Amino acid sequence: MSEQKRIGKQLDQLVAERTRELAEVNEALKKELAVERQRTEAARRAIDQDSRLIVGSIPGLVSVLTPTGAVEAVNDQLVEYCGQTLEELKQWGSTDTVHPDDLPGVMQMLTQALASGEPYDFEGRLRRFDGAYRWFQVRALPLRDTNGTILRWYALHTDIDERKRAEDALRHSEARLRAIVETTPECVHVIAGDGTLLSVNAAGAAMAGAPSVDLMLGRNFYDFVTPDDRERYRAFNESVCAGQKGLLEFHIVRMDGERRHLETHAAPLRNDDGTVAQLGVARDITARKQAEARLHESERHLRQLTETIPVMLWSATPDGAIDYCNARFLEYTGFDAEQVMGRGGFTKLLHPDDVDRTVQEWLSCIRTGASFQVEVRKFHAADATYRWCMTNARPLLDEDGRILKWYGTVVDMHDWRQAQEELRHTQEKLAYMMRVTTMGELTASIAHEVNQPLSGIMTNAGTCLRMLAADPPDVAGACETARRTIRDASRASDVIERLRALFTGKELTTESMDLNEATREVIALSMNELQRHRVMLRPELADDLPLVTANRVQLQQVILNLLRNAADAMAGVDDGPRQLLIRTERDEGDRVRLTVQDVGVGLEPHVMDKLFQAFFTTKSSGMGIGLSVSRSIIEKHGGRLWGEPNDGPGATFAFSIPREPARATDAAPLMRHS
Amino acid sequence: MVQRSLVSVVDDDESVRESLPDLLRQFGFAVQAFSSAEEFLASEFVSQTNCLILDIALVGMSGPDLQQELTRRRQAIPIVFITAHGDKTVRPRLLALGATECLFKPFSDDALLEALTKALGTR
Repeated sequence: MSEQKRIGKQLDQLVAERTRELAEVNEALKKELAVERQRTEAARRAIDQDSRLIVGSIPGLVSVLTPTGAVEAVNDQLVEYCGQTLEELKQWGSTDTVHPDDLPGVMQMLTQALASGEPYDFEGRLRRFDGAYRWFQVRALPLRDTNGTILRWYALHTDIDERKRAEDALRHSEARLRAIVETTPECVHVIAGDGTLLSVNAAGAAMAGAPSVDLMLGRNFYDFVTPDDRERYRAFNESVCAGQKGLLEFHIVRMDGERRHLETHAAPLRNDDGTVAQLGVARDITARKQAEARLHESERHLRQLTETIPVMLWSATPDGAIDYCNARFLEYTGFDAEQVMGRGGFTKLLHPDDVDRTVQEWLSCIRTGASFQVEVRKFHAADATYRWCMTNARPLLDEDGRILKWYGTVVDMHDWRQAQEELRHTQEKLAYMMRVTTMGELTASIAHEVNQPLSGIMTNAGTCLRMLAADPPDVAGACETARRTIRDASRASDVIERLRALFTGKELTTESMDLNEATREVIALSMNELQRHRVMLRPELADDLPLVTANRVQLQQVILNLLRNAADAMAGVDDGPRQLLIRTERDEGDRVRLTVQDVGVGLEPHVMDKLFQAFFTTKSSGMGIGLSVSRSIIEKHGGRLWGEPNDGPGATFAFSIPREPARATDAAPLMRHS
Repeated sequence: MVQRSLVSVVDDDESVRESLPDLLRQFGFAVQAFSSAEEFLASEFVSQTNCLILDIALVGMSGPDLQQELTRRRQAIPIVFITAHGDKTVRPRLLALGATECLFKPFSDDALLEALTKALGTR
């Protein structure tokens, strides 16, 4: 027991000893702890000091919030930026420090973060000291103790205004670009290197006949290309995706089966993933191609026309330089197009004597826009001569009247001009012959006309003298006869006046000739005049008419005279057709006869005798020598000319001449009634 | 001249019918003028005419035709032809047919008087 007591006592001693030791240790620990606490406190102060220093030197705006979200501290930068004191900044929730549009979102964000303890990050506008708002990114992290309890929130405000603006600008620019792409009437597409359609605008979908863009995306564009063009398109696409720009015309078959002609301008487009696709702008050129084809066809047709037409054609620029000559033109002149083209090139084609006036006329037309028309001698290669040509040109004007182009023709009128001259010459000769016959006939006519008044003059003068010589003189009678003398003298003078235009003819030669042919020529010559007088001419020319030996011009003069007389005689015929028959036929005794029959006024018996006298006429105009001269001519040819009334209306005139050469002209019975 | 001889003039030229009668009257003849052969033949003066001055070229019946007609009617009137045509070959033919003279216009008053004297003297 004592043992137990002793052990107990020992134990108590031990406990007391250990308790003392523990208390000592505890006391030491306490001291140590106090020291430690002091040291920690100093350290913490140092940290706080550091932290403030750090916060103050961070190149950003920093705020420190309590776990409930109240502003506890801010750095100088924030104070400077906002131009507000810490006390003022503590009131940020009810001031305009945060942009009013952003404040609700900021509050909500903050409330959530405080509740969840999760870091928060938002973008908003903060008011600068000068009132301007700038964009900031605000990121806040909670500071926790070892237990995880949030001690404070640290928030960093980073100025992102520049970036924000750049983003806005980019967004605007992208939107604009998208709007452009979406509204452009051309197909804008992005096609991958394997042909997959990555993106396309609405116009592109419409161009392919797809109801919507979505139906197009992801499809292989190669499938739209016609089989003929597919390999070409594939090579093109691969070339573009390899970095080459390009242009390609090809055909597609639309989703509705219609075939269209497209033209694509393409450039390589680098994707985000580093691959390269084709950015293409395709245009539907079907209509343009069709128009081009039509234009081409029309041009080809026109060119064919201008090159095959047997007329010389040319065109010139507004300043007068020849810019086109057709094949006929070059063939005619023997020049090359290069030699003729340009300003003044055409002068090489002209006869030297025609150059000056032609150039002046041309320059004048270029200046005024007047139609150009000249008769010039142009070089003709085939026989190396100059031939008369009519050159015409007219300007093509725009709506303002400015000359766009000159178009011209050249017509060879050499033969025509010569024929005209010959015709004029023949007509002159005929007209001359109508007035004039041989010397004898004319002098007889003149003698008759002049002798009548001369006779009166002599008779009156004789009478006058005798009256004055009488005893007593008959003065009154002498005066009367003297007056008659004067009258007759003036009558003679009139006759001379009328004869002044007439000239003596010269001896004309004869030839073997075809009366039908001569008649046809006269008909051709008279056709215009006859038609003008509404005369219906009916020729009946015998097939087997023998040749005659005659002076062609004189015979034609007679025929012409008979035709004109007949036409004149029918001038008053208005109740029926003015029919005129001209007939040739064999006549009795190896003669040929020509008959002209009209339905005109006919012949009065008292006129018949004088019909063939010179200066006798029933017409109001004319000298009245036509029939007289005609008869004289026919008689010189050993023939006969006569006229007679018809049974019906009108008269018939005819002549008959031998088929053989006429005998000497002495057979002509002159003045058969005298 | 107790009774003046009657000279008839047939000419279709009016100035002749005007001037010639005055001259003939100066010569002392009685004168009748006619514009055509037909007019003369139809007149009362055919048998009274002592001398006929006759134009060759007349409208209708010509001078020579009238000459033949008068011969046919046995009216032996001396005829002096006058003509404005200068064809001298006509004169011998007419004279051969019985004409007294053939004067070519213009003729002088003396030539006319001579022809008339010849015509009237030969009657």
